[in-house]
Amino acid sequence: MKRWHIVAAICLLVVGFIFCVVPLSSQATELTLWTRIPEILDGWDYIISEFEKLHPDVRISHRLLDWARTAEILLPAFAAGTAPDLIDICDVSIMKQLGERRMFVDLTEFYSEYRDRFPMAVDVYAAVDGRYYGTPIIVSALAHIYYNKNLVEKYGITPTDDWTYSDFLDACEKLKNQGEIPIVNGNKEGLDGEHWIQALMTETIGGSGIMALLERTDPDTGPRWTDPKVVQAVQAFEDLHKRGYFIEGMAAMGQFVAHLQFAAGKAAFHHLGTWISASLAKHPEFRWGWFRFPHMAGEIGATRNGGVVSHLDLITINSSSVHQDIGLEFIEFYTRPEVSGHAFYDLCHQHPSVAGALKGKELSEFDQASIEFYETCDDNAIWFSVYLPHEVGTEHITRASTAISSGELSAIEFCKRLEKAHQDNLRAAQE
Amino acid sequence: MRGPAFFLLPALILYVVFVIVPLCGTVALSFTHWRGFDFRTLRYIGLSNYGKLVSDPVFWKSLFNTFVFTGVSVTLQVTVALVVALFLEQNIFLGKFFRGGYLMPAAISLVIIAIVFDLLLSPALGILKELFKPVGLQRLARFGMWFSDPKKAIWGLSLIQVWYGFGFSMFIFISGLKSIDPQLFDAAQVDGASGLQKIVYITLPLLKGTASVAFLLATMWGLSVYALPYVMTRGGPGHATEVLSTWAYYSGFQYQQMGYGSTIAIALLLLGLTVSFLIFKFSAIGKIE
Repeated sequence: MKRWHIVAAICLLVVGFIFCVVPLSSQATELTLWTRIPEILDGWDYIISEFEKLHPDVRISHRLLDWARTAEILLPAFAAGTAPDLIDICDVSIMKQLGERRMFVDLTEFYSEYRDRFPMAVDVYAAVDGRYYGTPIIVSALAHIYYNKNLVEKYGITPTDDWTYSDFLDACEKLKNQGEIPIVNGNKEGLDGEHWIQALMTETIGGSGIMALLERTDPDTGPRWTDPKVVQAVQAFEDLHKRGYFIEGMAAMGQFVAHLQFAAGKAAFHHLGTWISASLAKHPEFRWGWFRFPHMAGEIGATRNGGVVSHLDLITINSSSVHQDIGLEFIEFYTRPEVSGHAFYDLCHQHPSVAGALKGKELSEFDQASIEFYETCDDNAIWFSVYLPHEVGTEHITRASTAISSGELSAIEFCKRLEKAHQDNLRAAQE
Repeated sequence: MRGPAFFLLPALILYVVFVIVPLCGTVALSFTHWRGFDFRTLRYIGLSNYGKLVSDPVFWKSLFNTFVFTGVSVTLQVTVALVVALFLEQNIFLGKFFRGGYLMPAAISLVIIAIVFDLLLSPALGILKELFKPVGLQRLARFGMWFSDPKKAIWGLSLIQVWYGFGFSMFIFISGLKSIDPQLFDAAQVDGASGLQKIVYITLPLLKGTASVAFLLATMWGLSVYALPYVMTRGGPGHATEVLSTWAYYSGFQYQQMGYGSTIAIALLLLGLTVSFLIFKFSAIGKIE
């Protein structure tokens, strides 16, 4: 036998061993989990590790998606048949489409058994036509403005929860006249602009008014995006730009860059959701405070405790998964209050959705204020862009808000285009 | 099967699988309405997507932006590359070093370039102000603010594209310059021609073919640009830096209109074919002088 015959035979044996024997020797059941929130990565690592200890024959492979592009990665995976077993869905519009086609496992029975774990506010995110398809992870709210204590104290400004919108504008004017930056937000992605518009609309038409707009089914009747109170809210956002209260270059500044600017003490006010506290906790030297989004005198928001209480991210089980039973066990495990509480609060400083997860924990003043809002909010609305079809919400609210920030689009034109797009979409749905 | 065809087969198979098949798929999708995740929902709608294209203001805006971006970046890129190539061929000190250095950006992924420039030019985090302030040029640091101005943002991206691509165009010109017979310059020298006259009457005419190639490649790069506007501006603010490729992506993947996104991609393909046909027709590529 020639030498190269022997070498070739050995190579074949090695390759054969690697591809055939090694997989056979691994008896572990593998599940794939895709999530998208980097701030709770440590929490998922803990949950997976603990779950695998309880189930030694199970391995969970976790992938973190780009938080802003989850749908774009996920939908082609479904089309190609390569979607994971467990998926973090953060989009009501996507949840609805996939839920209607039964592409997720129906969790209605699970909910009926474990209903006490989940607040009622979850339903609008997790349910499609009365059936539940996902379990929530963390809760957050959009109802506050955060402020730089050093900067406001320097100019004798004392924000409180009783501030009106006029008080807020006066404070911004004072800071601007002193050469300071009143408000820092980054609207390159359009999300900060959307949040401002949503908060202002909560004041002018209330959360219930927003939901009426979002749930509209008839293009020719019902509330419209061109109604005077809606236009008023968008004009208020535009007005903040015209007054020069926003940081220069907001239209080109990313959301996370704006966080950093605020944490670096470069501006007085920052408007974002309660998830900001986890970011600010990384800057212990920065003194910050918060106050309720100021009410506009005489508007409906002044009579209510409105805002957004969001259980946006939900874990779903792919109905094509061959490990649905293990997926159900995983969901039951991570939604145990003690597990959720440790994973998402102790390790990641986020607020778990699961009821009782924070019981017995030492909560900061901000945590208490956030929880109080989650429990007392009486005028809740869902995020615009995850409820409306993306060609309406993302295009004509999120991205269009960047055009307002750059001065290219007026508030009235914003509302007109949004109304037309929504009407066209509703007509297409009717056909 | 033998001879050249046999050796071409592997590349041909790869080309068919990764270029022709997806292209045919894109053409087919352009006649459908599909939300992108369940093939059971795919339905044939004829030429509706093409009709929608005509009435879509964002499509026309992105087409305009594509022309502006390509026109500005190609013109500057080719011009700067030619000037630098002529300069470097004068055997200047460290000429070879600069030759390699100018080519380096083209070897780096455009996504990385976009991320780096996004940070560098950030009005908040960028270091331009600190770099230019000591030399009294802090006004130049306001270049980062261009990306929040709907009128200037596309120009800002074009300048970055010039920086990225001129090294490659310069490389093409240097290759062309080296192919010119030096005896022509000697003869011109004997006849008393100045340096400028040599460039105008010998170098430039003989570089026509090379210039056409540089022009063609730069144009194809410009038309197909995606990474720069997507990473740096997301096509914004508004749609100020939306180009055809980003609009095709957003329409298809973010707005779940795969059919319409494919239609925009076909429009971009047809644009590229038309432009390259015109370049071949009116340039010196492939023509014997």
